Amino acid sequence: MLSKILNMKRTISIIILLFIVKSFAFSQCNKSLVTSCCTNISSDAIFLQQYRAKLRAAETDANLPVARFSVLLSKGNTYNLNVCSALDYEGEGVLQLYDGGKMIAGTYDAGSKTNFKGFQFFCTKTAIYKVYISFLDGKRGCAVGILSMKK
Amino acid sequence: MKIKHLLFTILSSGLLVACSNNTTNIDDDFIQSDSIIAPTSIEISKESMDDLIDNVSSPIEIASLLIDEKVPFSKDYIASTDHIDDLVTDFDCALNLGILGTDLGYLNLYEKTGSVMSTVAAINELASRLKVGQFFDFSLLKRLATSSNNLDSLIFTSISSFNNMDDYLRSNNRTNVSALIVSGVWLESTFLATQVYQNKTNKKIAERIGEQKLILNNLVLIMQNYKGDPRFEDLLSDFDELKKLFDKVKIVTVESDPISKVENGMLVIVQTSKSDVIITDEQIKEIGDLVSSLRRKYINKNNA
Repeated sequence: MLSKILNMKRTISIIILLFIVKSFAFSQCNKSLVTSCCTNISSDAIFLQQYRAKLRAAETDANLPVARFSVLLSKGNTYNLNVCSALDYEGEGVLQLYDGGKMIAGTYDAGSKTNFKGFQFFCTKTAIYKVYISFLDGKRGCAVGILSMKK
Repeated sequence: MKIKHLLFTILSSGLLVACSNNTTNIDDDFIQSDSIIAPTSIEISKESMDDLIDNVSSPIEIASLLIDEKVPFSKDYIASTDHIDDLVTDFDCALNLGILGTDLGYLNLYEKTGSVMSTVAAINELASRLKVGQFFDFSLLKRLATSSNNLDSLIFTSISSFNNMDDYLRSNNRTNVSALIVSGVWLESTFLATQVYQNKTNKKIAERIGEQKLILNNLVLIMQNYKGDPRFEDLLSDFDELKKLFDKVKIVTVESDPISKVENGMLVIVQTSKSDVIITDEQIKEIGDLVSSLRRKYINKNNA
């Protein structure tokens, strides 16, 4: 009888532990990631927009998943674009800025193989740009991009 | 017995996981993105609509420009909130929510926190009528507005409330409401810029007015998607009239490669492409007069 009770207690503990671990693991890829990423906004910048991306792992090298967003940027403004990745996903977020079909800025520098946390963009042409978020090596990932504007 | 025990554990765990998935707040979830865009045959696809709506610039940028150009604050530019009770349809509430959203950005950036509360209260009321009131924490906004040390938090909370509400609307097949809100934002931002210009001419403000042409083109496309609804048709007709004026504005661009450098550990990109706006004072006056008239029409429903 005692051993049965102990076994039941152990079972219940495992179930509760699984529930907690699952909740914790998935709690990173949500609004809390946006909030924590916004703490990277410098004191002389104003938050403008958030871009959230959750992507599956790439099935082939030629077909990397990408999340795409549009944004109007105005000439004369200096914008900051930062990317933050959820820690419980293996992918490290890469953020790129496109003007038409041409990439004009990105967090990943192929030369030094460095993925910066963000970049500052001094805009001299008012236009509709594209923000792309993908993950290094096409890994499964969850990230948020934050657009802010220097005051 | 041990196998029964193991089965029970696995089944219970699965049940708990399934339950926790069902209770996740929809506005807390990240939407699973994909690079494949779903094709449509007649209407604009959801992804294209999202793109078009995303392209409306934040009202904060106009207000920031006015501050940079040392334009003094004027409460004459702010929409009255006395008419809120007259707004009964979702259409009118959404349009005016956008208008007031711009005013909130203007008030926040000019640090007129004392005047913010009536606008916040009106926003809260309109959002509740649209069943998106959960995105505006009225008590938090009130607390932040009444404390002079929390301006950055007030700006952030205001903007992220609107962004989260917008995400929710688009994820829940209410893109038409989202479209009306951004239309209201744009209308009020353009009103603000044209009114300021008529009191004090300024090259940068003139250019920003001319650049609104880019956004208006998208708004017209958005409204065309809802042509079956007479209210949207009326708004589209108004936007088409504005478009005729903006079509006279020229935007000239010169393309060039950007320069990138690392400064203090931060990646800095300096764009060298240029855009110039060719717009006359007369064109700005015509645009300003029509925008002002449309704004009056959509704010004062009973006096239209």
